[in-house]
Amino acid sequence: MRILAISDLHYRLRHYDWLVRAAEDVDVVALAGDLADVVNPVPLDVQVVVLEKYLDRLAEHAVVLAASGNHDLDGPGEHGEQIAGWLRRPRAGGVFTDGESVDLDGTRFTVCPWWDGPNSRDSVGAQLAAAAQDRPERWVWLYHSPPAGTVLCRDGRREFPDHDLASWIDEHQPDIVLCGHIHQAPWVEGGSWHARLATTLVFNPGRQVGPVPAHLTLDTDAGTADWFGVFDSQRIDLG
Amino acid sequence: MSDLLDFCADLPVESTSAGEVLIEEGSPPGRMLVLVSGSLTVERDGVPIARIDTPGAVFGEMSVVLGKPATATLRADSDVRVHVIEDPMTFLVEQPGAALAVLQTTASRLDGLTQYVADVKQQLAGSEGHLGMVGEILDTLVHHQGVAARPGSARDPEGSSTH
Repeated sequence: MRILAISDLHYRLRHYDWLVRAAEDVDVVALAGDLADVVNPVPLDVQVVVLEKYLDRLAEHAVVLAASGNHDLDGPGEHGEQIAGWLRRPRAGGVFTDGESVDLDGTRFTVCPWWDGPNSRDSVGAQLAAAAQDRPERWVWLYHSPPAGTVLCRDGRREFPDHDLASWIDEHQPDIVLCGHIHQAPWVEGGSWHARLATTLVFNPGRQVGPVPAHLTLDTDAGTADWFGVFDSQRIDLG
Repeated sequence: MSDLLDFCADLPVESTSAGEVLIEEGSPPGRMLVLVSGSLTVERDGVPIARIDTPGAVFGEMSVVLGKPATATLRADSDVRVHVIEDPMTFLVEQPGAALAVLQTTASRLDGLTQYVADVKQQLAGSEGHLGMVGEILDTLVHHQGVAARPGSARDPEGSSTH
């Protein structure tokens, strides 16, 4: 199975166009948050119209997984905390979003929403505990902010360590966690696009301006993870 | 658009010289202006995008009605005279005829945009990438009446405001 993992597209249309073309060559497209961009002058509800078209286009080629990031939040949920309501709507076809898990070819993918307070954080904890039941051979999470204790959560400008994610990783020991959020993590001195917490591999492909967005390709048959920045690329073994 | 001028007959007139800015891009919603005479340029990011010299043309109404900062700068091309409506919401609420005149202006503008994009959709159908999606997106947006989002994260406010 080939998985294209990407994050922080921030409503960049050319990058979405690239992604639709790239989706033809993979089995799964995993978007780890910040599909939209709240700084962009296009209103968020209009961005959502466009992004949903792209999700449909992507699903014509591959299974699509989309987790919310902080830029995707469009209003309060029933508990009053911010959620990405548009990524919780039921969808037809092969698009799996916030709160969902799907098993594909011996791998369980769990799509975690951005949490914005104690209630939505507890929901993520409950989601992971439920998905841990009868877990298959491999378990992959999508979760926007990188875990504390890794170089993926700092980029020299700012640091956003997610201690709850680190705790959940320690508790459940998933095989792979796909993150984003901290854009320069792969390029800052001492930074990286991959890290390990015990047996769990964690990735943050980063974000750079360029014709092709930074991204990863995971090949579960070959056991490799390839990272493509704008000017460089690297490979590691999935182990 | 002359109807709107009729409703403004008793409102003060402000005179502006060529080069002066009447509305600054990014400024908060405030007053609404109705052109009496002269010529104005609309600029975005310092780039001129439209020139308007039709008496009765209205400016600042989108900002007022939507409660959003001005999306463009309005600069005088010549000596300009405008009616100034300091409290546009009261003006529009108390004079339905004036509100209808502003609605006709914005509806006409929307109709022009819709006709243009309908043609773009037809001419660019089958194109690669986003251009090929324009028609489908516009079909949705023309009928779109989504609730305005309330974005932002309490957990990471810095990340929400800067990326």
